Parts: sequence; structure tokens; C-alpha cells
Amino acid sequence: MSIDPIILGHNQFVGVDHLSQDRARDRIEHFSDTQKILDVISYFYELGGRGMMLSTHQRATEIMRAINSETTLSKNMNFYPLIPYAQGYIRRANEMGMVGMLNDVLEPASTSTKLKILLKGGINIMRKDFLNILSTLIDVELLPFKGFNMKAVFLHNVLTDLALALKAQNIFEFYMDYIEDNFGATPAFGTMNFATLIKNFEEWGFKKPLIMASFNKIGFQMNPSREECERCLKEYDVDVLAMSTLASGYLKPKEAYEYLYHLPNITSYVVGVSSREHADEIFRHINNREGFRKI
Amino acid sequence: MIAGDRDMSGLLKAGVIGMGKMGILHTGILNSLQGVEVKALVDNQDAILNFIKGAIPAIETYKDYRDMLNKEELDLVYITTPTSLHTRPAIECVDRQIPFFVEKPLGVSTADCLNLVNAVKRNPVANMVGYSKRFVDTFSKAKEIIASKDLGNLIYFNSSMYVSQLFTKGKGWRYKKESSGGGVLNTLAAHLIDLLLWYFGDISLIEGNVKSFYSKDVEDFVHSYLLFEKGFSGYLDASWSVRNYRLPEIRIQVEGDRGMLTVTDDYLKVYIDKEGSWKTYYKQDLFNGVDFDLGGPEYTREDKHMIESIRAKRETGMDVFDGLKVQKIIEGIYVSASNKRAVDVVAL
Repeated sequence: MSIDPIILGHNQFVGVDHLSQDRARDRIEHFSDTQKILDVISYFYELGGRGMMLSTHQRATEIMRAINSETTLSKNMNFYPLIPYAQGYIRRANEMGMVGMLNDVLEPASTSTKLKILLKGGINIMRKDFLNILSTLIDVELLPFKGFNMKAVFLHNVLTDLALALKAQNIFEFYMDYIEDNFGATPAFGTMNFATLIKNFEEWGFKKPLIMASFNKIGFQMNPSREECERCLKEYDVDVLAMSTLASGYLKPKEAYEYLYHLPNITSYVVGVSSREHADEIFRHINNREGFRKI
Repeated sequence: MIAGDRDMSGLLKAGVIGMGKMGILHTGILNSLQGVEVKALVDNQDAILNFIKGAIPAIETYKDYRDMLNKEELDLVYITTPTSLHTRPAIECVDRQIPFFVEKPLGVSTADCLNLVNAVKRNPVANMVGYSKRFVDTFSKAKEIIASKDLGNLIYFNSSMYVSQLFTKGKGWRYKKESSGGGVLNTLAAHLIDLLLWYFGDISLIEGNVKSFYSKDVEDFVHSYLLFEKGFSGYLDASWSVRNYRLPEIRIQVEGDRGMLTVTDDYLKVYIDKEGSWKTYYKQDLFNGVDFDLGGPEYTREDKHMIESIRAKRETGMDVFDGLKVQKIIEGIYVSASNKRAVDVVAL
């Protein structure tokens, strides 16, 4: 299944900014009004953008509700959930401990029959049923996206990279089967370790995976190095959704996209759009590129 | 040079005690590094252990760290338990001459830390305390500039550490003084104190104020005046109950007689009078890839530093003695706050 060539990112809406926390705070203030988020999404749609990534941040439900009120958007946009919202888990683990966090996270699913069965055995059920807990976590995370078009579901880089560090092939296989079988979507993976991930996927026999990884001219968040990530991109059969293309706003779109156009296997970009001017600029550069799938 | 005849050139077998988020993070990073393998984990909660067994069946799990230390032949132990449980397993490691890493802060009080420090004095072994901010590019670049004397004689600093974490009564060990040793100061702003000591040397005089609002047992807000031995002084402010700080964020501003700098987790701005212009380094400017990034490149650099130090039988440069220094300042702030007067560090 092919994914949209341009996917609207969500960081700017929920106060994630890897250039400056000061700028993140300004954006939180600006986008605290959900209508302003909806305006950006609508303008992105007008320019031809059809894909949107959204992490399961506490505002996800509210944003999806707003989108649902605009029939054109809710019918025609494709959504790419990024699960889970890792910082939320960390904050909750800091606040109530690991077990408290798990209970709290699973709470929205407390009406589901599956979870009722699980919780009947109390927390002890985790003893036997690690994968069942994992599947319930995925169900809970994807609740806000119920009824919308979901082409691919991305596993957050923290979890992908943790499973990768532990060489837990079984977790990757479980995730892929579960997303395909239950949501009819492509299972996909965010990572900060593109080179290591693709080498392991090849070893485990995973064919043409869909991976979201940083690709930018200055090598920001490209591990172990820009050169090694570029080499693996050329060498392996993979679809890449490029993120951090502007290195979190550090690069200008012109230089950023000129670099990306020379790379193979990059099928899509995540773009962080926070204003009309910004959207115009990005689309101008992307649409000017010869040979790239125009949208 | 660290004494010891243990061969550290081959595959290093590691054990991790305490599987909270830092335990999970270090387990992942250690396991991803060349020449290191995590063999065993310890946690006292069945739910957590069983979750881990489901995810990674190849790793041995234990409920009691002594069982792990008795049964496994380990070259390296990471201690990532709640703070009150740091020093006991660390002392066991000293007795067995196993190199160890302890998460920050070192302990719940200076008395707690002294037991461990004395054990290391009697029986030296490689060790490190997890003050990971030293491995963040912006903070290490600031260290370079401060050490270069480009700012001239230092006059004044102000500093803060904030995160939006606690707006209800917290649950778990972090909010019980008995297990955490304190609130935002001991649990979080210990990082900031370590950076200040690393940048500016030893502290001689402390004034402190603390305030609890959401927590019953520990402080949610800290304000402190710190005087360094070199005569330079300034302020520290910390809280985990301020809004709009999605991530923990440190900010340090230093004024010298020839220039100034401001450093945060994101950027470093330097102004040198004779040059008459600002120089800004974003973390993008300073970025270098790491072998494997899990939760931030600083943690990988930190763990590699530990591994490289023990392989070379070299001191880590951030050991229990440094951990004790941080703890003394923290205790000084608490003592000053309760006595409502300045505390001389020598008296601690």
C-alpha cells in the first residue's frame, strides 16, 4: 500500500520542538485554540495535502473530534497514528510508578470485554499474557482514530528502538501481524537508528518495511552517522518516510529539499506546518521538484 | 588508575538492578553496545519482572539483587532503583570488586552516601554516578567556554530547572522523603547542582528556601543562593510544578567581567565584550551521531564513557566522591531552609 507523499506532522500543534522549548511554548499558546489547528489542516488540504500524522497526545481526541466536524477532511484525509505518545507514559510513570502508569493507561479500555477478562486476573495476568497486554495497549492508543482512514500505524521511535536494542524480533512480528490483521493498515516504525534497524530487519527477513527516520543535510538525529544512513538507504529495499527534514527548523526548505531529492527510496516526507506562509513555501519547493510524485 | 586484576578486554556481562524507566533505558543501551551484554535484571515487583520475561525471554530475572550477584558472574552492575536503595547494592559491588554505575542522585542523605564512599575508599573499584547532563552537547560546550576563561573573572550566575510534572498529590517513591531523599531538589535539580559544581568548583556557603504545595512529604519548589569558594555567587530555582515545561529544562546564565553566556538543553549563547557580538550554538550545530540512540544521545555517551573507563582501568571522573559533593549541597539547602539561616558547607 502506498502512503501519501506529503504527511502533515503534529509536533507544532502539541508543543514539541527540537530547536527551542521557548518556541514550543509560544506554539502551545497559539494552538491552544483547536480552531487554529483545524485552519492549518484545512489549508494543507487545499494545497493538496492528504496525509496527517498524529501522536496519541492527550489532545489527539479533541483534534480528531474537530476534524470529524469537517466532512471533507474526515472523509478524504488519511491518518497515520504514531503510538504511543511516549512522553505521556514517562510523565505518568514519574507521577504514579510503573504499575500505576499501566493501570492508568489501560483505563479507557475498561469497558472492553478483553480487558475485563485480563483484569479479572489482576495485575498477575501480566505473568502469562505479555502480548495480550500489548495488544490492549495498541487498541487503547488507536481509539481516537476509530472510523477514520488509517493507511499506516507507526510505532514510536522509543519503543521501536527499545525492542531493537533488546533484539526482540518477536515483538516486531507481533506488532506487524496485529496492525495488519486488526486495523487493515500497514505496520510502520519510527526510529532514531535507521541503519541498525534496517540491517536487523533484513536479517529477520522482513520485506520492504516502511520506516520513518530522520534525513537532513546536517545529519541531525542520524545515527550512527549521516554517511551510514545514506549508505543503508541505497543498499536496502525499504520505503522511508523522512522526518526532521528541516532539522527541526534549523534548515531553510530550499537547501533541505535539494539534499533530499538526491536520495533514493524516500517515498514521503513529514512536514511541520504552522502557518499558511509556511505551508505555501514548503509546497512550492516540493511541487517544483522534477520527477518527484506531484500531489 | 583503578586497581584490580579483572580482565575487562572481552565481552562484558552486565546486570541491572531496578527496572523503572532508567533501568529499562540503560538495559537497552548497554545491550546495543558492541562488546556488552545484559545477562540479568532485578526488580522486586512480579508484574514488572513478568512483563520483561514476556518481552525478552533470554535475560535472567531476579527478585533480590543478592541472588543475582551470587549466581551471575558479572563484570558490571547498573543500579537504577529508587534512591533509598542505591547505596546498599553499591556497597555489595564494592565488596565483590565489581565496577558499578549508580543513577543520580547518589543517596537520600550525606550519611547514606558516606557509607558507600568509605567503602570505596577502603576498597577502590571503578564507579560512576549518572549525572548525564554532562554528556549533553550544549552543556559540555559551555564547560569548555567557562574553562577557557573567555568570559574573564566570573561575577554572577542564575540558574533554573523546571518541568511540568506534578499538579496533584504524587504517588510512588519519588514523593516519599524516606525513599527519595527529597522532592524536586534531590530527585531532579541534583542534575543542575552537579553542572554548577562541574563548571565552577566547590561551594562554601548556602542559603535555601523550600516550599511544598502539591506534595505532603517533599518540596515542590526550591530557591537557593550559592556562594562558591572562588567568591563567585548566584541563584538556583527549581520546580516540578510549573506549567508549560513538557520536558525537564535547565537554564544557566553566567556573567563574567569580559562576557556572558546562557546555556539550556537546546542552545548555548555566548557574548564576548571585545567581539561585540553573540555566538549561538544550537544542538543541531553541535550534534554528532552515536552508535545507538535510545532516549537521547547523552545516555549512550554516558554508558560508553563507563564502559571505556572500566576497559582502560581509568577513573570515570564522575564517581561517588562527586556524588557526595552534590549530596552535601542538597543537604545544605534543606538544613538552611529548616534553620532559616545560611549554612557553611564545611560544617556539613
